[in-house]
Amino acid sequence: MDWSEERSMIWNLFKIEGMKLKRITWITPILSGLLLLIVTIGEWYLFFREGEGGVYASFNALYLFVSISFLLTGNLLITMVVGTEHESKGWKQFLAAPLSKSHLYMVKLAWVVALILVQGFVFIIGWALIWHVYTTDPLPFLFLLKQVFYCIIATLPVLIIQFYLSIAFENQAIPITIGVLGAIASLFLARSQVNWLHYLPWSYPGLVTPFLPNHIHWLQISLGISTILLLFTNWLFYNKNWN
Amino acid sequence: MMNNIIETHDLCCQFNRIKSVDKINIQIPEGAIYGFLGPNGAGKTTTLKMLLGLLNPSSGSIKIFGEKMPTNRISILREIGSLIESPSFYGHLSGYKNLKIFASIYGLPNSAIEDVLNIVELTPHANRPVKHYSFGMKQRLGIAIALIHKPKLLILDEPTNGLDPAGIQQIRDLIKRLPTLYNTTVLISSHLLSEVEQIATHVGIIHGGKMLFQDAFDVLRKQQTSYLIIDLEDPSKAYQSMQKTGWDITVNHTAISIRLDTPGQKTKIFECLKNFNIINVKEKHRSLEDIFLDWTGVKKEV
Ligand SMILES: Nc1ncnc2c1ncn2[C@@H]1O[C@H](COP(=O)(O)OP(=O)(O)OP(=O)(O)O)[C@@H](O)[C@H]1O
Ligand SMILES: [Mg+2]
Repeated sequence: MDWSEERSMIWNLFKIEGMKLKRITWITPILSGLLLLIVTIGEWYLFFREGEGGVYASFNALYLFVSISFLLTGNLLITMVVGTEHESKGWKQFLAAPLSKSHLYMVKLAWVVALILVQGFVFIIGWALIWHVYTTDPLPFLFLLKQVFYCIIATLPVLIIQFYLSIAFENQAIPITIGVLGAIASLFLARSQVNWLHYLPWSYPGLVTPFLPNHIHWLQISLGISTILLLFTNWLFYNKNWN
Repeated sequence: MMNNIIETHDLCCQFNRIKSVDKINIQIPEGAIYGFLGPNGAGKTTTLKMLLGLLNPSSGSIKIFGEKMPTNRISILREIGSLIESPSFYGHLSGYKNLKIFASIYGLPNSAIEDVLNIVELTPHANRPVKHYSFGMKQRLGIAIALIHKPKLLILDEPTNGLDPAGIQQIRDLIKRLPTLYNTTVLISSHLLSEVEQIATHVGIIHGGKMLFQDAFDVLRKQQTSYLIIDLEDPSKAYQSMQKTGWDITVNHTAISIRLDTPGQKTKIFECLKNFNIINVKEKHRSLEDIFLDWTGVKKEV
Protein backbone atom coordinates (compact mmCIF):
# COMPACT_ATOMS: atom_id res chain seq x y z
CA MET A 1 0.00 0.00 0.00
CA ASP A 2 1.48 3.34 -0.96
CA TRP A 3 1.45 6.40 1.20
CA SER A 4 -1.19 8.41 -0.65
CA GLU A 5 -3.62 5.49 -0.41
CA GLU A 6 -2.86 5.10 3.26
CA ARG A 7 -3.30 8.83 3.81
CA SER A 8 -6.73 8.80 2.22
CA MET A 9 -7.70 5.83 4.39
CA ILE A 10 -6.60 7.64 7.53
CA TRP A 11 -8.51 10.75 6.46
CA ASN A 12 -11.57 8.63 5.74
CA LEU A 13 -11.31 7.07 9.18
CA PHE A 14 -10.91 10.51 10.74
CA LYS A 15 -14.17 11.61 9.13
CA ILE A 16 -15.89 8.41 10.24
CA GLU A 17 -14.78 8.94 13.83
CA GLY A 18 -16.02 12.51 13.54
CA MET A 19 -19.52 11.24 12.66
CA LYS A 20 -19.66 9.39 15.99
CA LEU A 21 -19.00 12.42 18.17
CA LYS A 22 -21.85 13.66 20.29
CA ARG A 23 -22.74 17.33 20.35
CA ILE A 24 -21.55 17.59 23.96
CA THR A 25 -18.09 16.54 22.79
CA TRP A 26 -17.96 19.71 20.67
CA ILE A 27 -19.44 21.93 23.35
CA THR A 28 -17.03 20.80 26.07
CA PRO A 29 -13.82 22.33 24.66
CA ILE A 30 -15.60 25.57 23.77
CA LEU A 31 -16.98 25.93 27.30
CA SER A 32 -13.63 24.94 28.79
CA GLY A 33 -11.89 27.62 26.72
CA LEU A 34 -14.38 30.23 27.93
CA LEU A 35 -14.11 29.02 31.51
CA LEU A 36 -10.32 29.32 31.44
CA LEU A 37 -10.76 32.84 30.11
CA ILE A 38 -13.19 33.85 32.86
CA VAL A 39 -11.21 32.28 35.69
CA THR A 40 -7.92 33.81 34.51
CA ILE A 41 -9.36 37.29 34.07
CA GLY A 42 -11.21 37.01 37.38
CA GLU A 43 -8.02 36.02 39.18
CA TRP A 44 -6.15 38.89 37.58
CA TYR A 45 -8.91 41.35 38.39
CA LEU A 46 -9.09 40.32 42.03
CA PHE A 47 -5.45 39.74 42.91
CA PHE A 48 -3.06 41.04 40.21
CA ARG A 49 -4.64 44.21 38.83
CA GLU A 50 -3.22 46.59 41.41
CA GLY A 51 0.29 45.06 41.27
CA GLU A 52 3.26 46.47 39.36
CA GLY A 53 2.73 44.16 36.39
CA GLY A 54 -0.54 45.86 35.38
CA VAL A 55 -2.32 44.19 32.48
CA TYR A 56 0.72 42.02 31.82
CA ALA A 57 0.27 40.34 35.20
CA SER A 58 -2.69 38.58 33.60
CA PHE A 59 -0.11 36.17 32.19
CA ASN A 60 0.86 35.22 35.72
CA ALA A 61 -2.79 34.51 36.44
CA LEU A 62 -3.02 32.46 33.26
CA TYR A 63 -0.01 30.39 34.28
CA LEU A 64 -1.83 29.33 37.45
CA PHE A 65 -4.71 27.72 35.58
CA VAL A 66 -3.59 26.78 32.11
CA SER A 67 -2.10 23.34 32.92
CA ILE A 68 -4.93 22.05 35.05
CA SER A 69 -7.47 23.34 32.55
CA PHE A 70 -6.01 21.44 29.61
CA LEU A 71 -5.40 18.33 31.70
CA LEU A 72 -8.95 18.21 33.00
CA THR A 73 -10.55 19.02 29.67
CA GLY A 74 -8.35 16.41 28.03
CA ASN A 75 -9.44 13.87 30.61
CA LEU A 76 -13.08 14.70 29.96
CA LEU A 77 -12.74 14.56 26.19
CA ILE A 78 -10.97 11.22 26.33
CA THR A 79 -13.74 9.79 28.45
CA MET A 80 -16.28 11.03 25.93
CA VAL A 81 -14.49 9.82 22.81
CA VAL A 82 -13.56 6.45 24.28
CA GLY A 83 -16.74 6.12 26.35
CA THR A 84 -18.91 6.37 23.22
CA GLU A 85 -17.19 3.26 21.95
CA HIS A 86 -17.60 1.34 25.22
CA GLU A 87 -21.25 2.37 25.50
CA SER A 88 -22.08 1.30 22.00
CA LYS A 89 -20.06 -1.94 22.30
CA GLY A 90 -18.42 -0.59 19.20
CA TRP A 91 -14.92 -1.94 19.76
CA LYS A 92 -15.76 -5.49 18.72
CA GLN A 93 -17.63 -4.27 15.65
CA PHE A 94 -14.98 -1.77 14.63
CA LEU A 95 -12.07 -4.09 15.20
CA ALA A 96 -13.83 -6.78 13.18
CA ALA A 97 -13.94 -4.32 10.26
CA PRO A 98 -11.09 -4.17 7.75
CA LEU A 99 -9.28 -1.32 9.49
CA SER A 100 -5.72 -1.07 10.68
CA LYS A 101 -5.71 -1.23 14.46
CA SER A 102 -2.98 1.36 14.77
CA HIS A 103 -4.79 3.75 12.40
CA LEU A 104 -7.87 3.41 14.54
CA TYR A 105 -5.91 4.08 17.70
CA MET A 106 -4.12 7.11 16.28
CA VAL A 107 -7.22 8.61 14.70
CA LYS A 108 -9.21 8.46 17.94
CA LEU A 109 -6.34 10.08 19.78
CA ALA A 110 -6.03 12.67 17.02
CA TRP A 111 -9.66 13.64 17.62
CA VAL A 112 -8.94 14.21 21.29
CA VAL A 113 -6.00 16.44 20.42
CA ALA A 114 -8.05 18.27 17.78
CA LEU A 115 -10.76 19.00 20.34
CA ILE A 116 -8.21 20.28 22.85
CA LEU A 117 -6.89 22.55 20.10
CA VAL A 118 -10.43 23.86 19.75
CA GLN A 119 -10.25 24.84 23.39
CA GLY A 120 -6.88 26.49 22.79
CA PHE A 121 -8.19 28.54 19.85
CA VAL A 122 -11.34 29.60 21.67
CA PHE A 123 -9.21 30.78 24.55
CA ILE A 124 -6.70 32.68 22.41
CA ILE A 125 -9.33 34.39 20.30
CA GLY A 126 -11.26 35.38 23.43
CA TRP A 127 -8.12 36.65 25.12
CA ALA A 128 -7.06 38.74 22.15
CA LEU A 129 -10.56 40.26 21.78
CA ILE A 130 -10.83 41.19 25.43
CA TRP A 131 -7.30 42.58 25.43
CA HIS A 132 -8.06 44.93 22.58
CA VAL A 133 -11.30 46.07 24.12
CA TYR A 134 -9.75 46.68 27.52
CA THR A 135 -6.34 48.18 26.85
CA THR A 136 -4.19 49.83 24.21
CA ASP A 137 -0.98 48.26 25.54
CA PRO A 138 0.54 45.91 22.94
CA LEU A 139 -0.49 42.28 23.34
CA PRO A 140 2.53 39.90 23.51
CA PHE A 141 0.82 37.58 21.08
CA LEU A 142 3.74 35.22 20.52
CA PHE A 143 4.11 34.76 24.26
CA LEU A 144 0.41 33.94 24.48
CA LEU A 145 0.62 31.40 21.65
CA LYS A 146 3.65 29.76 23.21
CA GLN A 147 2.05 29.61 26.65
CA VAL A 148 -1.06 27.94 25.30
CA PHE A 149 0.29 25.61 22.62
CA TYR A 150 3.44 24.53 24.44
CA CYS A 151 1.21 23.65 27.34
CA ILE A 152 -1.03 21.56 25.05
CA ILE A 153 2.01 19.75 23.67
CA ALA A 154 3.26 19.12 27.20
CA THR A 155 -0.04 17.51 28.20
CA LEU A 156 0.34 14.90 25.43
CA PRO A 157 2.24 12.33 27.53
CA VAL A 158 -0.47 12.43 30.21
CA LEU A 159 -3.19 12.35 27.57
CA ILE A 160 -1.73 9.26 25.96
CA ILE A 161 -1.55 7.48 29.31
CA GLN A 162 -5.13 8.53 30.09
CA PHE A 163 -6.27 7.53 26.63
CA TYR A 164 -5.00 4.00 26.97
CA LEU A 165 -6.38 3.65 30.50
CA SER A 166 -9.79 4.73 29.24
CA ILE A 167 -9.69 2.04 26.59
CA ALA A 168 -8.42 -0.63 28.96
CA PHE A 169 -10.99 0.03 31.71
CA GLU A 170 -14.54 -0.20 30.56
CA ASN A 171 -15.58 1.54 33.78
CA GLN A 172 -14.62 5.16 33.13
CA ALA A 173 -14.65 6.03 36.85
CA ILE A 174 -11.15 4.59 37.16
CA PRO A 175 -9.41 6.68 34.45
CA ILE A 176 -11.39 9.77 35.47
CA THR A 177 -10.18 9.47 39.06
CA ILE A 178 -6.61 8.95 37.95
CA GLY A 179 -6.93 11.93 35.60
CA VAL A 180 -8.32 14.28 38.25
CA LEU A 181 -5.67 13.27 40.79
CA GLY A 182 -2.99 13.72 38.12
CA ALA A 183 -4.29 17.17 37.20
CA ILE A 184 -4.28 18.28 40.83
CA ALA A 185 -0.80 16.84 41.33
CA SER A 186 0.39 18.83 38.31
CA LEU A 187 -0.25 22.03 40.28
CA PHE A 188 2.44 21.09 42.76
CA LEU A 189 4.84 18.96 40.75
CA ALA A 190 6.17 21.68 38.48
CA ARG A 191 6.79 23.99 41.45
CA SER A 192 8.37 21.22 43.53
CA GLN A 193 11.96 21.59 44.71
CA VAL A 194 12.52 17.86 44.26
CA ASN A 195 14.10 17.77 40.84
CA TRP A 196 13.39 14.21 39.78
CA LEU A 197 9.67 14.86 40.23
CA HIS A 198 9.92 17.16 37.22
CA TYR A 199 10.49 14.13 35.06
CA LEU A 200 6.99 12.80 35.77
CA PRO A 201 4.72 13.60 32.79
CA TRP A 202 2.30 15.46 35.09
CA SER A 203 5.00 18.12 35.65
CA TYR A 204 5.62 19.00 32.01
CA PRO A 205 2.61 21.29 31.41
CA GLY A 206 3.83 23.57 34.20
CA LEU A 207 7.42 23.58 32.99
CA VAL A 208 6.98 24.60 29.35
CA THR A 209 5.86 28.13 30.13
CA PRO A 210 7.90 30.82 28.32
CA PHE A 211 8.41 32.36 31.79
CA LEU A 212 11.04 29.70 32.46
CA PRO A 213 14.36 29.92 30.63
CA ASN A 214 14.70 26.18 30.00
CA HIS A 215 11.14 25.60 28.81
CA ILE A 216 12.29 24.38 25.38
CA HIS A 217 14.17 21.58 27.11
CA TRP A 218 10.93 20.38 28.70
CA LEU A 219 9.10 20.76 25.43
CA GLN A 220 11.59 18.43 23.81
CA ILE A 221 11.23 15.95 26.66
CA SER A 222 7.45 16.09 26.29
CA LEU A 223 7.70 15.31 22.60
CA GLY A 224 10.21 12.50 23.17
CA ILE A 225 8.17 10.87 25.94
CA SER A 226 5.00 11.25 23.86
CA THR A 227 6.58 9.36 20.99
CA ILE A 228 7.70 6.54 23.27
CA LEU A 229 4.32 6.32 25.00
CA LEU A 230 2.53 6.42 21.66
CA LEU A 231 4.52 3.50 20.29
CA PHE A 232 4.12 1.53 23.50
CA THR A 233 0.36 2.04 23.96
CA ASN A 234 -0.19 1.43 20.27
CA TRP A 235 1.53 -1.91 20.67
CA LEU A 236 -0.61 -2.70 23.73
CA PHE A 237 -3.73 -1.79 21.75
CA TYR A 238 -2.63 -3.97 18.86
CA ASN A 239 -2.26 -7.02 21.10
CA LYS A 240 -5.24 -6.36 23.30
CA ASN A 241 -7.89 -9.05 23.75
CA TRP A 242 -11.42 -7.75 23.23
CA ASN A 243 -13.60 -9.65 25.65
CA MET B 1 -10.86 -31.79 -0.66
CA MET B 2 -13.44 -29.16 -1.51
CA ASN B 3 -12.94 -25.52 -0.67
CA ASN B 4 -13.22 -24.75 2.99
CA ILE B 5 -14.04 -21.15 3.83
CA ILE B 6 -12.90 -21.60 7.43
CA GLU B 7 -10.37 -24.10 8.69
CA THR B 8 -8.91 -24.11 12.15
CA HIS B 9 -6.23 -26.39 13.44
CA ASP B 10 -6.11 -27.32 17.15
CA LEU B 11 -7.36 -23.88 18.10
CA CYS B 12 -7.10 -23.15 21.83
CA CYS B 13 -7.96 -20.22 24.03
CA GLN B 14 -7.08 -19.97 27.66
CA PHE B 15 -8.24 -17.54 30.34
CA ASN B 16 -6.23 -17.67 33.59
CA ARG B 17 -5.01 -21.22 32.91
CA ILE B 18 -8.54 -22.48 32.20
CA LYS B 19 -9.03 -23.69 28.65
CA SER B 20 -12.24 -22.17 27.28
CA VAL B 21 -11.57 -23.54 23.83
CA ASP B 22 -9.61 -26.73 23.56
CA LYS B 23 -8.11 -27.96 20.28
CA ILE B 24 -10.98 -27.08 18.02
CA ASN B 25 -10.80 -28.06 14.36
CA ILE B 26 -13.53 -26.32 12.44
CA GLN B 27 -14.12 -26.97 8.78
CA ILE B 28 -16.77 -25.01 6.96
CA PRO B 29 -17.29 -25.69 3.27
CA GLU B 30 -18.17 -22.90 0.88
CA GLY B 31 -21.89 -22.16 0.66
CA ALA B 32 -22.70 -23.92 3.91
CA ILE B 33 -24.90 -22.68 6.69
CA TYR B 34 -22.91 -23.97 9.60
CA GLY B 35 -24.68 -24.24 12.94
CA PHE B 36 -22.27 -23.91 15.82
CA LEU B 37 -24.15 -25.51 18.62
CA GLY B 38 -23.37 -25.66 22.32
CA PRO B 39 -24.86 -24.90 25.74
CA ASN B 40 -24.07 -21.71 27.71
CA GLY B 41 -20.38 -21.35 28.42
CA ALA B 42 -19.38 -23.93 25.81
CA GLY B 43 -16.90 -21.61 24.13
CA LYS B 44 -18.88 -20.45 21.09
CA THR B 45 -18.36 -16.72 21.49
CA THR B 46 -14.71 -17.22 22.39
CA THR B 47 -14.16 -19.24 19.21
CA LEU B 48 -15.96 -16.73 17.00
CA LYS B 49 -13.94 -13.87 18.51
CA MET B 50 -10.74 -15.68 17.66
CA LEU B 51 -11.92 -16.14 14.08
CA LEU B 52 -12.44 -12.38 13.85
CA GLY B 53 -9.10 -11.52 15.42
CA LEU B 54 -10.70 -10.02 18.53
CA LEU B 55 -9.05 -12.57 20.80
CA ASN B 56 -5.59 -13.99 20.37
CA PRO B 57 -5.54 -17.79 20.32
CA SER B 58 -3.22 -19.29 22.92
CA SER B 59 -2.25 -21.91 20.35
CA GLY B 60 -3.40 -23.38 17.06
CA SER B 61 -4.02 -21.74 13.72
CA ILE B 62 -6.84 -20.26 11.66
CA LYS B 63 -7.29 -20.10 7.91
CA ILE B 64 -10.13 -18.14 6.37
CA PHE B 65 -10.56 -18.00 2.57
CA GLY B 66 -7.26 -19.94 2.53
CA GLU B 67 -5.42 -17.03 4.17
CA LYS B 68 -3.89 -16.99 7.60
CA MET B 69 -5.56 -15.13 10.43
CA PRO B 70 -4.35 -12.79 11.94
CA THR B 71 -1.45 -12.42 9.49
CA ASN B 72 -3.77 -11.28 6.71
CA ARG B 73 -6.29 -9.78 9.08
CA ILE B 74 -7.40 -6.79 7.03
CA SER B 75 -7.86 -8.54 3.70
CA ILE B 76 -9.78 -11.37 5.40
CA LEU B 77 -12.03 -9.02 7.37
CA ARG B 78 -12.95 -7.16 4.19
CA GLU B 79 -15.06 -10.19 3.19
CA ILE B 80 -16.60 -10.93 6.59
CA GLY B 81 -19.69 -9.53 8.24
CA SER B 82 -20.22 -10.20 11.91
CA LEU B 83 -22.57 -9.81 14.83
CA ILE B 84 -21.06 -10.99 18.10
CA GLU B 85 -23.20 -11.23 21.23
CA SER B 86 -25.26 -8.03 21.38
CA PRO B 87 -25.43 -5.60 18.46
CA SER B 88 -23.15 -2.54 18.41
CA PHE B 89 -24.69 0.82 17.63
CA TYR B 90 -24.25 4.46 18.44
CA GLY B 91 -27.46 5.22 20.30
CA HIS B 92 -27.44 8.98 19.70
CA LEU B 93 -27.28 8.49 15.92
CA SER B 94 -30.06 7.36 13.61
CA GLY B 95 -30.11 3.90 12.11
CA TYR B 96 -29.17 5.45 8.79
CA LYS B 97 -26.15 7.27 10.27
CA ASN B 98 -25.01 4.08 11.98
CA LEU B 99 -25.07 2.28 8.66
CA LYS B 100 -23.40 5.25 6.98
CA ILE B 101 -20.42 4.80 9.32
CA PHE B 102 -19.96 1.23 8.15
CA ALA B 103 -20.73 2.05 4.52
CA SER B 104 -17.88 4.58 4.65
CA ILE B 105 -15.47 1.99 5.99
CA TYR B 106 -16.14 -0.24 2.99
CA GLY B 107 -16.38 2.67 0.58
CA LEU B 108 -19.99 1.88 -0.34
CA PRO B 109 -22.50 4.29 -1.91
CA ASN B 110 -25.64 5.39 -0.03
CA SER B 111 -27.69 2.98 -2.14
CA ALA B 112 -26.07 0.13 -0.20
CA ILE B 113 -27.53 1.58 2.99
CA GLU B 114 -31.00 1.77 1.48
CA ASP B 115 -30.72 -1.79 0.16
CA VAL B 116 -29.76 -3.27 3.47
CA LEU B 117 -32.40 -1.22 5.34
CA ASN B 118 -34.93 -2.81 3.02
CA ILE B 119 -33.62 -6.28 3.62
CA VAL B 120 -33.99 -6.01 7.39
CA GLU B 121 -37.20 -3.98 7.03
CA LEU B 122 -35.99 -0.96 8.94
CA THR B 123 -36.62 1.61 6.21
CA PRO B 124 -39.54 3.26 8.06
CA HIS B 125 -37.36 3.74 11.15
CA ALA B 126 -34.15 4.75 9.40
CA ASN B 127 -34.12 8.32 10.68
CA ARG B 128 -34.94 7.70 14.32
CA PRO B 129 -32.13 7.63 16.90
CA VAL B 130 -31.23 4.03 17.61
CA LYS B 131 -31.56 4.45 21.38
CA HIS B 132 -35.33 4.66 20.78
CA TYR B 133 -35.41 1.41 18.81
CA SER B 134 -37.02 -1.71 20.26
CA PHE B 135 -34.80 -4.68 21.08
CA GLY B 136 -35.72 -6.49 17.89
CA MET B 137 -35.05 -3.41 15.76
CA LYS B 138 -31.58 -3.04 17.30
CA GLN B 139 -30.90 -6.68 16.57
CA ARG B 140 -31.96 -6.20 12.95
CA LEU B 141 -29.76 -3.13 12.70
CA GLY B 142 -26.88 -5.30 13.94
CA ILE B 143 -27.60 -7.75 11.15
CA ALA B 144 -27.81 -4.90 8.64
CA ILE B 145 -24.35 -3.72 9.73
CA ALA B 146 -23.05 -7.25 9.23
CA LEU B 147 -24.63 -7.50 5.77
CA ILE B 148 -24.02 -4.06 4.33
CA HIS B 149 -21.01 -5.04 2.21
CA LYS B 150 -22.51 -8.34 1.00
CA PRO B 151 -19.81 -10.39 2.71
CA LYS B 152 -18.59 -13.77 1.51
CA LEU B 153 -18.73 -15.00 5.09
CA LEU B 154 -21.25 -14.03 7.72
CA ILE B 155 -20.57 -14.79 11.37
CA LEU B 156 -23.57 -14.46 13.68
CA ASP B 157 -23.43 -15.19 17.39
CA GLU B 158 -26.87 -16.20 18.66
CA PRO B 159 -28.61 -13.65 16.42
CA THR B 160 -32.13 -14.59 17.45
CA ASN B 161 -31.49 -14.30 21.18
CA GLY B 162 -34.38 -12.46 22.78
CA LEU B 163 -36.44 -12.04 19.62
CA ASP B 164 -40.12 -12.88 19.43
CA PRO B 165 -41.25 -15.82 17.27
CA ALA B 166 -42.03 -13.57 14.30
CA GLY B 167 -38.62 -11.93 14.55
CA ILE B 168 -36.91 -15.29 14.79
CA GLN B 169 -38.79 -16.50 11.72
CA GLN B 170 -37.83 -13.35 9.81
CA ILE B 171 -34.14 -13.74 10.56
CA ARG B 172 -34.23 -17.44 9.85
CA ASP B 173 -35.74 -16.80 6.42
CA LEU B 174 -33.14 -14.15 5.71
CA ILE B 175 -30.26 -16.42 6.67
CA LYS B 176 -31.63 -19.21 4.51
CA ARG B 177 -31.73 -16.86 1.53
CA LEU B 178 -28.18 -15.60 1.92
CA PRO B 179 -26.24 -18.37 0.20
CA THR B 180 -28.21 -17.78 -3.00
CA LEU B 181 -28.65 -14.02 -2.52
CA TYR B 182 -25.00 -13.03 -2.06
CA ASN B 183 -23.26 -16.39 -2.30
CA THR B 184 -22.56 -16.07 1.40
CA THR B 185 -21.32 -18.81 3.68
CA VAL B 186 -22.90 -18.51 7.11
CA LEU B 187 -21.55 -19.46 10.51
CA ILE B 188 -24.24 -19.12 13.13
CA SER B 189 -23.97 -20.06 16.78
CA SER B 190 -26.84 -21.16 18.94
CA HIS B 191 -27.63 -23.07 22.08
CA LEU B 192 -30.86 -24.40 20.58
CA LEU B 193 -30.75 -27.51 18.50
CA SER B 194 -34.23 -26.86 17.14
CA GLU B 195 -33.03 -23.55 15.71
CA VAL B 196 -29.95 -24.99 14.04
CA GLU B 197 -31.99 -27.91 12.74
CA GLN B 198 -34.21 -25.57 10.76
CA ILE B 199 -31.53 -23.75 8.86
CA ALA B 200 -28.18 -25.48 9.01
CA THR B 201 -26.64 -27.64 6.32
CA HIS B 202 -23.67 -28.41 8.56
CA VAL B 203 -23.27 -28.60 12.28
CA GLY B 204 -20.52 -28.48 14.88
CA ILE B 205 -21.35 -29.32 18.47
CA ILE B 206 -19.12 -27.81 21.12
CA HIS B 207 -19.18 -28.50 24.83
CA GLY B 208 -16.70 -27.56 27.54
CA GLY B 209 -14.45 -26.07 24.87
CA LYS B 210 -14.24 -29.35 22.95
CA MET B 211 -15.78 -30.22 19.61
CA LEU B 212 -17.95 -33.29 20.08
CA PHE B 213 -19.31 -33.67 16.60
CA GLN B 214 -18.88 -31.99 13.24
CA ASP B 215 -20.35 -32.98 9.91
CA ALA B 216 -23.17 -32.39 7.49
CA PHE B 217 -26.46 -32.09 9.33
CA ASP B 218 -27.82 -35.18 7.61
CA VAL B 219 -25.09 -37.25 9.21
CA LEU B 220 -26.30 -36.05 12.59
CA ARG B 221 -29.88 -36.85 11.61
CA LYS B 222 -28.86 -40.43 10.91
CA GLN B 223 -27.84 -40.72 14.55
CA GLN B 224 -31.50 -40.53 15.49
CA THR B 225 -32.62 -44.02 16.43
CA SER B 226 -35.59 -45.87 17.77
CA TYR B 227 -35.52 -48.64 20.32
CA LEU B 228 -37.99 -51.38 20.92
CA ILE B 229 -38.28 -52.07 24.64
CA ILE B 230 -39.88 -55.42 25.35
CA ASP B 231 -40.87 -56.49 28.85
CA LEU B 232 -40.57 -60.26 29.20
CA GLU B 233 -40.91 -62.91 31.86
CA ASP B 234 -37.41 -64.12 31.23
CA PRO B 235 -35.39 -61.41 29.52
CA SER B 236 -31.97 -62.99 29.91
CA LYS B 237 -33.06 -66.15 28.13
CA ALA B 238 -34.54 -64.12 25.29
CA TYR B 239 -31.33 -62.13 25.11
CA GLN B 240 -29.27 -65.30 24.76
CA SER B 241 -31.49 -66.67 22.04
CA MET B 242 -31.11 -63.47 20.00
CA GLN B 243 -27.38 -63.00 20.32
CA LYS B 244 -26.59 -64.45 16.91
CA THR B 245 -28.80 -61.94 15.09
CA GLY B 246 -26.15 -59.21 15.30
CA TRP B 247 -28.68 -56.67 16.53
CA ASP B 248 -27.77 -54.07 19.11
CA ILE B 249 -29.44 -55.46 22.23
CA THR B 250 -29.20 -54.52 25.87
CA VAL B 251 -30.83 -56.36 28.72
CA ASN B 252 -31.88 -55.80 32.33
CA HIS B 253 -33.89 -57.99 34.70
CA THR B 254 -37.30 -57.02 33.32
CA ALA B 255 -36.77 -56.13 29.69
CA ILE B 256 -34.62 -56.19 26.61
CA SER B 257 -34.06 -53.20 24.41
CA ILE B 258 -33.26 -53.54 20.74
CA ARG B 259 -32.08 -50.77 18.44
CA LEU B 260 -34.15 -50.54 15.27
CA ASP B 261 -31.86 -50.20 12.29
CA THR B 262 -33.72 -51.68 9.34
CA PRO B 263 -37.34 -51.35 8.26
CA GLY B 264 -38.40 -54.99 8.49
CA GLN B 265 -36.64 -55.55 11.76
CA LYS B 266 -39.69 -55.49 14.00
CA THR B 267 -41.30 -58.47 12.29
CA LYS B 268 -38.12 -60.43 12.67
CA ILE B 269 -37.91 -59.54 16.35
CA PHE B 270 -41.41 -60.75 17.05
CA GLU B 271 -40.65 -63.90 15.07
CA CYS B 272 -37.69 -64.59 17.34
CA LEU B 273 -39.72 -63.97 20.46
CA LYS B 274 -42.75 -66.09 19.59
CA ASN B 275 -41.85 -68.68 22.25
CA PHE B 276 -41.47 -66.11 25.04
CA ASN B 277 -44.09 -64.50 27.22
CA ILE B 278 -44.23 -60.88 26.20
CA ILE B 279 -45.72 -58.58 28.85
CA ASN B 280 -45.42 -55.24 27.15
CA VAL B 281 -43.86 -53.62 24.07
CA LYS B 282 -42.83 -49.97 23.85
CA GLU B 283 -41.08 -48.07 21.11
CA LYS B 284 -38.77 -45.32 22.24
CA HIS B 285 -37.43 -42.69 19.89
CA ARG B 286 -34.06 -41.08 20.58
CA SER B 287 -34.39 -37.69 18.95
CA LEU B 288 -31.69 -35.22 17.97
CA GLU B 289 -32.55 -33.30 21.09
CA ASP B 290 -31.91 -36.39 23.20
CA ILE B 291 -28.60 -36.95 21.45
CA PHE B 292 -27.57 -33.36 21.97
CA LEU B 293 -28.52 -33.46 25.64
CA ASP B 294 -26.71 -36.76 26.12
CA TRP B 295 -23.54 -35.39 24.56
CA THR B 296 -23.58 -32.10 26.37
CA GLY B 297 -24.37 -33.79 29.66
CA VAL B 298 -27.40 -31.70 30.45
CA LYS B 299 -30.24 -33.94 31.52
CA LYS B 300 -33.68 -33.21 30.24
CA GLU B 301 -36.03 -31.89 32.86
CA VAL B 302 -39.07 -34.11 33.47
N1 LIG C 1 -12.63 -12.81 29.80
C1 LIG C 1 -12.80 -14.02 30.33
N2 LIG C 1 -12.14 -14.36 31.45
C2 LIG C 1 -12.28 -15.57 31.99
N3 LIG C 1 -13.06 -16.53 31.48
C3 LIG C 1 -13.75 -16.27 30.36
C4 LIG C 1 -13.66 -14.98 29.72
N4 LIG C 1 -14.44 -15.00 28.62
C5 LIG C 1 -15.01 -16.22 28.59
N5 LIG C 1 -14.59 -16.98 29.62
C6 LIG C 1 -14.98 -18.37 29.91
O1 LIG C 1 -14.88 -19.11 28.73
C7 LIG C 1 -15.93 -20.06 28.62
C8 LIG C 1 -16.59 -19.94 27.28
O2 LIG C 1 -17.27 -18.71 27.20
P1 LIG C 1 -18.06 -18.27 25.90
O3 LIG C 1 -18.54 -16.90 26.13
O4 LIG C 1 -17.21 -18.52 24.73
O5 LIG C 1 -19.27 -19.29 25.91
P2 LIG C 1 -20.51 -19.35 24.92
O6 LIG C 1 -20.51 -20.70 24.31
O7 LIG C 1 -20.52 -18.19 24.00
O8 LIG C 1 -21.72 -19.25 25.95
P3 LIG C 1 -23.14 -18.50 25.83
O9 LIG C 1 -24.08 -19.44 25.13
O10 LIG C 1 -23.53 -18.33 27.28
O11 LIG C 1 -22.94 -17.21 25.11
C9 LIG C 1 -16.85 -19.80 29.80
O12 LIG C 1 -16.62 -20.80 30.77
C10 LIG C 1 -16.45 -18.47 30.32
O13 LIG C 1 -16.58 -18.43 31.70
MG1 LIG D 1 -21.80 -16.55 23.76
